[in-house]
Amino acid sequence: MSAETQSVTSAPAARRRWPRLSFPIRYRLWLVFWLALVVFFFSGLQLSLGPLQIRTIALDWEFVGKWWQFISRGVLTTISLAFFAIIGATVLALVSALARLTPVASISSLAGLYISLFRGTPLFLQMFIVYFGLAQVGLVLDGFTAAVVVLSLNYGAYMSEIFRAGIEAVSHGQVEAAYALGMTPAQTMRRIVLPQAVRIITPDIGNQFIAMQKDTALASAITVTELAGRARQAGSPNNRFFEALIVAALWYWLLTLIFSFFQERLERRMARSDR
Amino acid sequence: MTFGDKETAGLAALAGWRQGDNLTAPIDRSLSPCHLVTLSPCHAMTEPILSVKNLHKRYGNLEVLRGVDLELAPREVVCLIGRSGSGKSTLLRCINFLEEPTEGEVTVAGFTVPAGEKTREHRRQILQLRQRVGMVFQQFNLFMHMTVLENLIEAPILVRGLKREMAVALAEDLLQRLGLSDKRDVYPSRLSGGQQQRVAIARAMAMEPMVLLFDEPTSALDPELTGEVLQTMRYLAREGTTMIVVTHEMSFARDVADRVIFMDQGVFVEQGPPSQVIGAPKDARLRSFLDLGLGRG
Repeated sequence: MSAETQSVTSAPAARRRWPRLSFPIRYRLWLVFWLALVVFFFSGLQLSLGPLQIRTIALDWEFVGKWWQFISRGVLTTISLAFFAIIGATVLALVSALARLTPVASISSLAGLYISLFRGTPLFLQMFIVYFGLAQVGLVLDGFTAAVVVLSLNYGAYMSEIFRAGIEAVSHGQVEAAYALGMTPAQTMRRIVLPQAVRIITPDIGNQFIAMQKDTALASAITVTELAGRARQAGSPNNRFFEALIVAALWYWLLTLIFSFFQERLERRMARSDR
Repeated sequence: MTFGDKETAGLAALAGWRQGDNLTAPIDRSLSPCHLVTLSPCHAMTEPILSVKNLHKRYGNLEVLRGVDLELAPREVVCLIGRSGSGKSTLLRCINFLEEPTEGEVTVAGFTVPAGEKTREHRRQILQLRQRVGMVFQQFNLFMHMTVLENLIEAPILVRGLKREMAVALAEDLLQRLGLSDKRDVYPSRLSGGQQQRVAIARAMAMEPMVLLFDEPTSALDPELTGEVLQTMRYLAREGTTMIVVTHEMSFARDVADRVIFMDQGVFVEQGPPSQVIGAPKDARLRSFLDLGLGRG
């Protein structure tokens, strides 16, 4: 978007939202219905409706009762993986976005290479390269550290582009106004551009955090015993994959729901200046 | 670092004088009221507060400004008129170095910044200069994530290093004078265009600039909203603010300006009191411009 079309007067129009759901009660009732249906498929019940025989999946509840605590102990590892990786990714994203936007060719191109490399290769492969590859040349990282580093680098690269787009979406008039008041480029970035860019990109960044929180599961491939790893450890010897993995999946879902709740509240708070 | 009482601080703001600033740079010393006392009033009136010498701006082969010289006396109001593309806005943007002039120099109250060097010192000088030159934009450019008050105190605190209470007092005084007190804690998106532009004027005044530049301040407004902005500008002019106004509002130029300058193709073609330039234009291009312009206004 060019600076001209981003004029101040058109900004509120650009943020116009879809109307909120006008049928919250019906929406929730149906939600409960569909959820009940999904639960039913795992109930183990057998129904015969005339000629129609319905068999549902029977879960081993005894196994779940015995192992769910073992699996759930991975939640803390998952949360701390996500926590450190979110911090790392945000810092990397901000630094590389600013680097990408500098007029200094050497720095901008370095940031460009970083973004291209880490967006262009699979996260799974990056995990192996950092954990096994670096160990081969003498840099031995434990699984947790390697996972945090890789998640930070990978998501930092994706979020860098989001940050850059957010910074560029702030109208150039804002920058000129700040300059005209005697602010330095650094002050302008910190006080005027970044606060507005962050408001613009909050939904996208939130989505990245949610995606990352689930991608922490890949750390189980490099020996980290977080949720998914423990689920496999519990399920494999007993041949109870379904039960173990569902326990882990429910945890991921719960974490995401909690995160979405806070994300939505944050977005609403940040929309203050648009109203 | 002291202000007089709130009242005089506001008056100083409107008169364009800076007072009780943290005076660090050499230029600041010459601006202090004490220094002015040593000058005869007559001298103070004739010493230009802004002077532009031989200003050129080229974009590749295109020469937008072709040697502009301009001197402004304190409290003088100058209106720049001319067709779009004549270089009016470029001149304004070169005065505070939002556009880097190719050649020439700008002096504000004895502080000179020459064009063209790309040094650290040059950038520092530009920052100094901008503190003394306020600018009001066509598109207002209020900081959308800040309330009206926050818009006003941001630069005084960050750039001038004022204490927060002092900046707030100055801002509240300005808002009251411009009739915007009730908008103090409102976000710009909830204001009309006219109100936004008045807040933008207040924001520029909060830095207590020596000169205020207006870049077509009413061109982005609906016709019924231009009135309140022009009224605010008349008020500032009456209070003795030195200003350069790029405008298409001929009635404003005729009533308020001490001097009207007609620009064409990057040079001043004709200038003088409004009665002469608008009332009895000599240049043929100016005459045809006025025929078009007055038809609109």
